[in-house]
Amino acid sequence: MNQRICVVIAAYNEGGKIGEVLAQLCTLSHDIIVVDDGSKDNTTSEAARYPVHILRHPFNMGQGAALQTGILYSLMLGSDIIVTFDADGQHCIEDIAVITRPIIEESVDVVFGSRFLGHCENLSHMRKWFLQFMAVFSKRVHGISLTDVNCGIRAFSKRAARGIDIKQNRMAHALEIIGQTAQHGFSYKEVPVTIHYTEYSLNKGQKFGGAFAIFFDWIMRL
Amino acid sequence: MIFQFFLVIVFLGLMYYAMQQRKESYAAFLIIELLCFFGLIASIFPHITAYFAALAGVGRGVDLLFYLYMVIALIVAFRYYILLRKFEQQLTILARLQAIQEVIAPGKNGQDNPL
Repeated sequence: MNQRICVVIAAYNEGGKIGEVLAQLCTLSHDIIVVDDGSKDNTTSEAARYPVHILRHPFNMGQGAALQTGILYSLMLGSDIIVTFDADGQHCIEDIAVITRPIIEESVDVVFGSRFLGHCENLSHMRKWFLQFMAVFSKRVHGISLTDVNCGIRAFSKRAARGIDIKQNRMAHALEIIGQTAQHGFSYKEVPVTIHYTEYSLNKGQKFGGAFAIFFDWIMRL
Repeated sequence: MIFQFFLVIVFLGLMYYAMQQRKESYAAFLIIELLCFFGLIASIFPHITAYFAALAGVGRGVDLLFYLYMVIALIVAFRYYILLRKFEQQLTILARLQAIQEVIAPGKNGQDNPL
């Protein structure tokens, strides 16, 4: 049976890159949902050049809030599988098939992408150590063993998407999703993905200081 | 002596400010006025705090005040953190509903958005 797949992209001031990402994604026969998280640039008008669904937050709330908006809308569209995908071009569209396969073939609920099982370019040592520390910490707290706890590409079955409710508006949502996966007892799997850190994505991404903010946000919500 | 004078000015200023804002929350006004009054008394007559410090088993009066204000500040900060979180959640839900209501869906024929 054909499963309806929705790809949710949270975008904030991604006018310079979103067109390129959507041009690639629109070659696939999936529903594409762009959540413009209160951008001040031309993100919406760039996205509107493609056959995608665009939701606009009236102000910037954070990636977690934007993903939850996109997930909710995907469920309203009647999607069976929901994939989260970054807007800065760091993910490969080929990985969408990789990440959805366990849901289609093995009825897994949540699939996490892992740059450490797959391939990752230009990842700084500092970021790598921090992510490894977070993986160990997350395993201790949630009991879920993952090699990469902060990878932007992941997939949810309809059941998981209905059960998971992201309340961490900012970047700590990645850890919250892991926590809720454990809490609901959803089956999960980690698959290798490829991440291309370009100068653009590194500039857009979290600075190392932001990592502490993520950690603080997460701790305060445990 | 100079610091004592400074504290008196600060507490009086706070009391005046709370008085002006009393329409916003009468309970908050009373609490601030009461705390400032105690602060004022403790600033002008520091030996009084020494008496209470001895009762509480704390070394000096100023230490007792410091601990008390520290506890109060922490309680207030925590309370406001929780409140802020609640407001953020409510605001997020409203913004989310608005975004969904005003969605720009692709054209029925799968062509470009009508924007």
